[in-house]
Amino acid sequence: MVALRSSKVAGLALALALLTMAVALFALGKSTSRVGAQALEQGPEILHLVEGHSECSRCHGAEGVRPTPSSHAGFTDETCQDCHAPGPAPQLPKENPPVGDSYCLNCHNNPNMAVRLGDGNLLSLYVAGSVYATELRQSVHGDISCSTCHPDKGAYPHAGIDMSSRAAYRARAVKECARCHATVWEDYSQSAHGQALLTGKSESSACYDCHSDNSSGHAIRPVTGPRALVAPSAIFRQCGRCHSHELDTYLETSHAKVVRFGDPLDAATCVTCHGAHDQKRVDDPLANLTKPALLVTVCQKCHDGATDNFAAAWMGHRGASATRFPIVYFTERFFVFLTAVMVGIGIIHVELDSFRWLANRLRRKRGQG
Amino acid sequence: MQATREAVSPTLSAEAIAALPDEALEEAYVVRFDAHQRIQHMLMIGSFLALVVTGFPQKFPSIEVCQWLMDAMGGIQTVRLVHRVAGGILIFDGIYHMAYVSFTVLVLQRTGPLQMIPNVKDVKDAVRTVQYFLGMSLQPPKHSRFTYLEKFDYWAVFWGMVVMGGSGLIILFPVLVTRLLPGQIIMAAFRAHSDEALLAVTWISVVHLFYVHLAPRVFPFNPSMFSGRVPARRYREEHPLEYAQLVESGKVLMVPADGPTPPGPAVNPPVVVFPDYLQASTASADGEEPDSDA
Repeated sequence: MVALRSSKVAGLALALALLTMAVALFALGKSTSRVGAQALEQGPEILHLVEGHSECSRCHGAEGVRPTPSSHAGFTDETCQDCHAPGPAPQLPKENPPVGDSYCLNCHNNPNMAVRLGDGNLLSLYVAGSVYATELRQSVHGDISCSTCHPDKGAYPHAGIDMSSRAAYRARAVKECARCHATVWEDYSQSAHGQALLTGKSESSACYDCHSDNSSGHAIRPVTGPRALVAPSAIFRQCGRCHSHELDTYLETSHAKVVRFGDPLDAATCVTCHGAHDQKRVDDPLANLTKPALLVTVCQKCHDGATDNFAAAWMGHRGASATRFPIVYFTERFFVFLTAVMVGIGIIHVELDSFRWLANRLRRKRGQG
Repeated sequence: MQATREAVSPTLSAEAIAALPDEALEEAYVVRFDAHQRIQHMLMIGSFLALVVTGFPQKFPSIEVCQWLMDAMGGIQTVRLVHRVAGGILIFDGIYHMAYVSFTVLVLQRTGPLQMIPNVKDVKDAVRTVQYFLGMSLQPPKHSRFTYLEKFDYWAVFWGMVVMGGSGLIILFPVLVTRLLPGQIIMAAFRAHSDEALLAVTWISVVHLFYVHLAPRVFPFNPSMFSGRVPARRYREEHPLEYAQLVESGKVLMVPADGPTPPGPAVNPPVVVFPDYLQASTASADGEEPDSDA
């Protein structure tokens, strides 16, 4: 009896299990066929250029800008463009924050918001106010949202932030730029700046150190035009923020003079000789800057027919001395001496002459009186 | 020249000139510079000013005014072009001067330009002048055609022309120059051009302008370099030795006081020119022959 009842229960359970499986299979089949049917339809256009953007879900995930609808479950980044054709660049109103940013600003509108990094540096996390409303909107990235560059931080608590030191934080930050600027990244990551920063040797220049005037990723300026910081008329000031001695010596050259007067003939700036994103240390054999025989190839970029002798004129951001560039040194000294002596003699002569004239005049007057 | 002098009027004797009162010298003058010299100097003034105006803003790009000046003058390309053209004119002027001096000395066999060569008297004159300035001597030295200061001025310009022209050409053609010379030459030329420019402008504005225009005896403007003439009364003070020499050697012209004022190109300076009424008044004063003809 008990055995019979047991077998009945088992049979019922089996039947229920089968039914459940059938329903599940049906439902699964239904849903698959529904997605399949929708794949034939065309979705809204992509509102930005797609070149270089392969990971759609990084920006358009559930927490991102214009998030992917839940009905899109099962799709991957590779299939987005099957339905969504690339459209023209978006014309978003710059005054209003793009969708999604308000979520971030709920916390980051607090001016006191900051975090103490492992190395003791204080990192401000405040981005609201003028930074958000003006700087970011006027920057070249004014049309994109927080989560585009801060993809890991869609939810709270944020994951994947290296808080151990400022250098580590900066090394992580430049990788966010690299996700879109892949070509530049190839050069930068091999450059003196990139190598030093990425290997943790020093807090070398990150992308935003040169491309903004306040080392802020929220204030990236255009590369050309009047606001540009890396155009020929301005780039030397950016480099000079760290390389002040090199800037001082550069400013004495004729290169710098004509650059500062806006020479339209592309006079040499820092990047003309050192490279823009791929600058090497000057002692790097690839830099071609140490020996005249190599340096001449750099000079020849602008000076047709330059010889080794010509390249030897470059004093390498250092002054002349009695042993180093002696002709220049003694010429300088000679003219300082000559000017001092000549002007001194001239002024004394004029003064003595005037003194005698005045004395004679006074004496004559007194004689008359 | 001989013809001109005789055609205008007979000369005064050296004694008669020496006896002339100061007032009589008011309208007399010495022709000091010929047309070539005046043209040379005007070319120099013009190109020098253009070079200063277009050069100095380039020397100081950090100064706001210089940036403004560069913009006002049409930007670096225009300024650079004007500077180079003006430099070319000044170099031409230098060559013109050298040709003029060579021709005068070698072909015309006139020794005038050679008086610019410094000699022992210049050193003595300089020392005595300073003594006079300091009250250690009662009289300044008597000068001949060129004072020691004028010679210094001339040779300073001569030096400046070589340095500025040479260094300017070197930094204009650096690639060409370094085919033959070491690269350091370019940087040295760059420094020399910049420093010598400052020295030249300082010297011209402090010393040269003072002695030719601002000194009390010539203030406020001395047109001699443009007219070629210096009032005889002043010339007698400034260059007494040459003046006496001119008078004694008979390099004296008489011209009608109210007529057109020669001398033309036929006259070789230096020469002392008197208005012709002096001839008559001197003659009557000497009692030789009354001016019955006039």
